[in-house]
Amino acid sequence: MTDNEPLWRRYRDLVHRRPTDDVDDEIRYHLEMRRQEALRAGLDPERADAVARERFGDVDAVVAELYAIDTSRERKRSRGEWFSDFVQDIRFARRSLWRAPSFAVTAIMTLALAIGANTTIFSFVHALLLAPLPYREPGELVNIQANIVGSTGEMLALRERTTVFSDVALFRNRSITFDDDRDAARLNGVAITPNLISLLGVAPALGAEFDDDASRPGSGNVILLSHSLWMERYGGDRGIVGRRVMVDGVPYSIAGVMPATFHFPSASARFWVPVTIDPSDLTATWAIGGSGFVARLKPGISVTRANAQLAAIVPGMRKLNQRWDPGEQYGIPATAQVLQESLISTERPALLLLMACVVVVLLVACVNIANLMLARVTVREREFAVRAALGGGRGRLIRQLLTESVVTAAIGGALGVALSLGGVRWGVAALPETMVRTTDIRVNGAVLVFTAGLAMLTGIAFGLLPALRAASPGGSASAVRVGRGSIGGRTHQRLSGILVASEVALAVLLAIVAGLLTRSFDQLRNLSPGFRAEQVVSARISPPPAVYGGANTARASAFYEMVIERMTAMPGVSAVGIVDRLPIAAPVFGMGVRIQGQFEDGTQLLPLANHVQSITPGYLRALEIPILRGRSIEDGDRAGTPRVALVSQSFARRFWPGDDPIGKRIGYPYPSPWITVVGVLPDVKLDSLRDTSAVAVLVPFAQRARIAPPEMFIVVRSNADPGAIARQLRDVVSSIDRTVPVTAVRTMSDVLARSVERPRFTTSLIALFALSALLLGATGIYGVMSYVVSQRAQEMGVRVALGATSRDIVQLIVGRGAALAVAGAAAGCVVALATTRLLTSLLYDVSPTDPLTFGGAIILFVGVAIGASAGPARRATRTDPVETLRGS
Amino acid sequence: MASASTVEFRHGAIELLLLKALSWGPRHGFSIARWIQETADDVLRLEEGSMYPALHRMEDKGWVKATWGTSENNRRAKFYQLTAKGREQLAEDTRDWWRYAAAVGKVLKSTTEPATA
Repeated sequence: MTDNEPLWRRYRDLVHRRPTDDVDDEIRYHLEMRRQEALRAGLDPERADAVARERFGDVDAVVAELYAIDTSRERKRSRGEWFSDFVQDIRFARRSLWRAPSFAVTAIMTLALAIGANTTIFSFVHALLLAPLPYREPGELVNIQANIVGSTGEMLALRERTTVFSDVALFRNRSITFDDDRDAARLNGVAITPNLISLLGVAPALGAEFDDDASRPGSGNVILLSHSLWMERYGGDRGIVGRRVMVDGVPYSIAGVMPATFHFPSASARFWVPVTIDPSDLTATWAIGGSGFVARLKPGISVTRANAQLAAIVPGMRKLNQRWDPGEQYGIPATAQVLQESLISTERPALLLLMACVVVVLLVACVNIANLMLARVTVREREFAVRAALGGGRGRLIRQLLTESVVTAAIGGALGVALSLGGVRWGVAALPETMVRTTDIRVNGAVLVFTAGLAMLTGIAFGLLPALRAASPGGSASAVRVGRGSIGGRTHQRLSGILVASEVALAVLLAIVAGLLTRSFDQLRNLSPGFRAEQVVSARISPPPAVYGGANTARASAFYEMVIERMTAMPGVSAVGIVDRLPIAAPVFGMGVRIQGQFEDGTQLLPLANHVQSITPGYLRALEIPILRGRSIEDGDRAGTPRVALVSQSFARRFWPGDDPIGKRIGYPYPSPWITVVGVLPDVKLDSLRDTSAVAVLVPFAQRARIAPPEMFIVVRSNADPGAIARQLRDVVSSIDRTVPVTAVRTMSDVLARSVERPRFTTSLIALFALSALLLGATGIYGVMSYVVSQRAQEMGVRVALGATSRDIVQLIVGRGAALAVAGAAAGCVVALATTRLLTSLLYDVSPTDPLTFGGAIILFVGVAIGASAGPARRATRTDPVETLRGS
Repeated sequence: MASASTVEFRHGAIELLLLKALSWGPRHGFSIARWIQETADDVLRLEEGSMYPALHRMEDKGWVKATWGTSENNRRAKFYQLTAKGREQLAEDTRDWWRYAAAVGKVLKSTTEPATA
């Protein structure tokens, strides 16, 4: 080793010093000094070396120890440095955003809206699809879905014959008239087997759950209230347990109140009562159906295994039915579905679609901001070049710019969360009340974690490209470019062209989705229901079965007749009718029918009439449903006269094709007299506007009612104000019997509108998203074209000097904008072609590749591109050739 | 150098000596070793290698600050310098040392036999 160490080492140390090098140098110096001392004392070189080492001790051990000490110190130091860099970056980001407030405000507001929308939709997705149901071990809960009757007898059989479930429970919808001496109310709730609540693993918030024998006939006059009903009617009074109330005219006692989070099976359930199980009553046990079955899997049993057992067992339950043979298809299929998935299955596609669309909006926003940042990078290229020249490393520069974009995204995200608080409240209010709500929908911890992650990713997504570009060797940071040149302009134009094209592609995708849904919704709304809904008021009338039901049929008929008579006398009223099931508002159920000469044996599988309604003569007049052949149901068709029925056109065509249906005879599936067809009606939509099953039978209410149904619907056609009609109706009913509730008072037009409320909601939300994407896309194109014009001012100057007209210049610029839009739109269409078939279940009578929608979206975006380029193009034509040429 | 009468260096005391050596100003490791050797008249046998880990640890503790500089013979060497904290430490350790030495001395000079219990 020489005394003079190489000069380069000192410089190298300025840049980077490794701790191990320092240790080596330090120890080497010490040993060298001792050696020279020994040499001076006259020792030979070899001996001198040995003396130096002897005095030092174990050189290797010391060096190793020093390495360890210094390396750990170095690590600590670099951690500290990273943090102080971080603080510095944040400060820098703040200053840099402050310097460009319009950029910062634009970016932050765009992000706040996009992230706010994402947070809002994700709150719903989280609460409805992701958060576990608020029940014990929710993964073990399944819904048994099978082609069976849905009777209590079947539940008992399932419980007995299956081994994969630890318990099986039944629930069925039930409406009651609830009277607690204040005013009678009609409530929707659920009848359940007493084990349901313990099967779910929930305890009442107040009072006790049902005893196991509450479903025995004669007992079980107990009712559990929902939390909302308790608050509404009793203001949260804890003393109501044990209080007597009248349920359908029968005394019940309040057993308790369920927790606020308990919404089974949906939020519209206001109460739970025990279902009566009486195996000795064969009709009640086997023929009353329509129930749902919930079961808990035994620990360790998979859904697949449960499915295998159900498929093996359920079809065999066909022979258990002692009322009739349910047919070959009975029990096929029979499956278990995870409860959470089955509860939300109808909302799932729409919710996922909304989430996907709102993510696309965020992506569009990201691309848009990336483009703005790219422009800023170009503006700031001198700043970066100077920093690079002063030794600012690439990594450091990238980090700094990324910090800047992540800080922007974080501020946007925070504002977005604030917006989403309002958004979630609005969304919850807009949700249909029958929507299954498993947990409360709100911005909770999980949602905040999602949003924070999203904001972070967003910041990196829109910041990375501009940062890389700023730091690229040929990019802004190269020291060569400190001068005035703008070599980077071309690259920038290409990059931001690509960005804008992808932005347009995403926006076109959204526009296509929104277009398809809008077209589908339009088809749906323009469907004719088959009756005239205008100027008709409908309402539900629910005479308590204890007074009007059972053997008191005559009393019910008299009651309805009196209501009809008094309403008909009201001024402006032209027709009043009663029907057991109102069209469109809820499914109109059907039943098997016997057809004389074709299907006469009630023990064999009978053809199904999709819908059966019992009506009074005024019903068809009120809805202006014409009679196509024969006669209508008339006042003379009473309990003692020959039985008559009307059939729909589809019914007639199906069973008597080419033959006159008048005079043909049909019958109920059970032993009963034949009924003569006296008239034919047009097909009417009954279950919903999308209903395509039109094989329907209408019978006179006076002849149908063996047992008076607990509720009927009245329809009143009148040119008077609907509000006045509603008031008159309430007055009339309460003047006859104060205990009969009148509920669900709506115009028929309103019933129709409500039936398409969900598609309307989804469609308008997605249209809103598409519109935001369109606006973002338009500003993107505008921004790029403005940049192009400013960068190519000189070229424009030359062109003008060489005789180019304004028209040529405009064509050049607008052409470039349109080209971007076409490229983007084409890409968007390709993506849409590949993905829109996922929408099929949400579309009505519109193909997922509807050419009109696709074409419309392309034309729209090319138009928008031309519009957005027009401004910059006009500016280009005002270029003064002399000015720009001198400026170069 | 090593002779029959040298005393083995005791743990902990080395830091005190290093602090003292630096109390006159910045020195590099070799210079510290030479100073201790001269001052202690070769009585203390310092295994010089053990000095460096002590110095580096004192650097960690913030008692000394290290900088690279040029030695008297114009070589690149690592210089150690007392910090304010190191100076306080020196004062404190010195006080402790004297108290300790006095106590040990007092015991050794004692003439009374310990009482048997």
